[in-house]
Amino acid sequence: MEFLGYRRKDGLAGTRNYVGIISNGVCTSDAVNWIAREVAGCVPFTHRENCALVSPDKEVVTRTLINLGKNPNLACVLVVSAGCENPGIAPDTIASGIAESGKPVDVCTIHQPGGIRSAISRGMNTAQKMASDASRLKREPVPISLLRHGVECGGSTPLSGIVTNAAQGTALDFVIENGGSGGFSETPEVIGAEHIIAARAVNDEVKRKMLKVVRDYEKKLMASGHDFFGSNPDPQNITEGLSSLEEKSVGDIRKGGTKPLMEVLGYGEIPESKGLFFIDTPGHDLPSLTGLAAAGCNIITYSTECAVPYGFPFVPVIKITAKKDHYEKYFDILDYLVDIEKTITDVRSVGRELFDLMLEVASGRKTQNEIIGYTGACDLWTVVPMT
Amino acid sequence: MIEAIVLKPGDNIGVALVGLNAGAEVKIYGQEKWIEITEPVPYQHKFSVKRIDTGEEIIKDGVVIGKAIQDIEQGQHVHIHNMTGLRLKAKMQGG
Repeated sequence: MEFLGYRRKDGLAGTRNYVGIISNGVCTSDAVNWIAREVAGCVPFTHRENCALVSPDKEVVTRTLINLGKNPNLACVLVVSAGCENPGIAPDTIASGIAESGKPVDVCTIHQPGGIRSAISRGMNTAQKMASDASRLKREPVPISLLRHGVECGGSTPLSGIVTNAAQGTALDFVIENGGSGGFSETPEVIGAEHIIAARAVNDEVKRKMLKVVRDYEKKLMASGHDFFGSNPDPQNITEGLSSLEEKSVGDIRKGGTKPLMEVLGYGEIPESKGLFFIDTPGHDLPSLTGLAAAGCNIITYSTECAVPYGFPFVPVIKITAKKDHYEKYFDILDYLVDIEKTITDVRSVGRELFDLMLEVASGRKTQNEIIGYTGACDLWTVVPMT
Repeated sequence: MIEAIVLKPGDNIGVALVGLNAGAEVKIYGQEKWIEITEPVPYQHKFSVKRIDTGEEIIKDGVVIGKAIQDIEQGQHVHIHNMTGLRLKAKMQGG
């Protein structure tokens, strides 16, 4: 089986073909957005981190930005830097890291004689050339083994586990059965059900790592002294019928399908094996989506029963719901309505339908997010408290 | 139409796939089993398929999702008024 993708020099394939404009720190967010807005074919990735980063955030943010830049949906990357003498996240490190993938990378520095306008103008000219080069690439049939499927959920109800997550977990099974890879994340939303995932680990080391990331996350939350009931599960989760974090987790893990767990990744890491992986991320969907994109996911499905509107700048996000009224009302957010009874009686047929939609989107069909252009929100995960 | 589902054998709760009224005899999907519902159970919420004593584990999809903080009779609505999670929240309270 195949989809129509963009072949990259490192052997991966993109489902999209953008020029990525990536900021190395918050000081360049405006410049990044400015360039991306003015040059067709460019997408921005901004974040709030800056030069004050310390370990381990410094290493994790650096690795995440590099691996975002390596995502096969980006044909070329322009890294935008303030140009300080002591940058927290060195732009050259980011650029040379991304360049390992063989794609063209350049750096635009805004602290330059001539002012910000002039620096941005030079950045736009570089981006213009990159966009022109990227537009020469054509889609061609590529095997499904080059599909990397991220699964996400946001706005869970008791039916998310039984229906929408079961549907996307089955679609993920289809991807893996066809030689592809994929994974899920959101560590706190596995608490209470981690033993089910760990039991599917390919070996003891992966099993230990799975249990460790959950234990460490839970310890960290406990040490904060806050009561998270009302945050996770959140008020909407509770109103809809989820009574505990464990119950939410039982539904959450269904999105990970049924295949053996091959790898557990740290935030911003790229998997080495085919098959299923888990990424240690927060339950907050924005940094979680970034984790999936940094892992090289070129397509994402996202179950949401509260019609979460945002997508991701350069990875198509297919939004699925089991709520018919939402699907009709929020037609410019949601892409697929999951049939509740059909999923309960024949999950493989529903998973197959979603898988077929994924192949269409991977081959160029636009998601609602992409059509409306609601793809700007982005965030990274850091663990060191702000000073 | 599927009215209710019990996800794994051994679960002591079912999930309502339609809003259930008190007095309803509900058929569990895939089983030759009917449960009499004794109080309203909103759409997607849980009900007990057997008596659950205070302190007993609540099991959904084969996983412990919390424990009963009251005695729960068969057919009652199960939610935060009569059960609590054991992870994160309960630990905070020293439970």
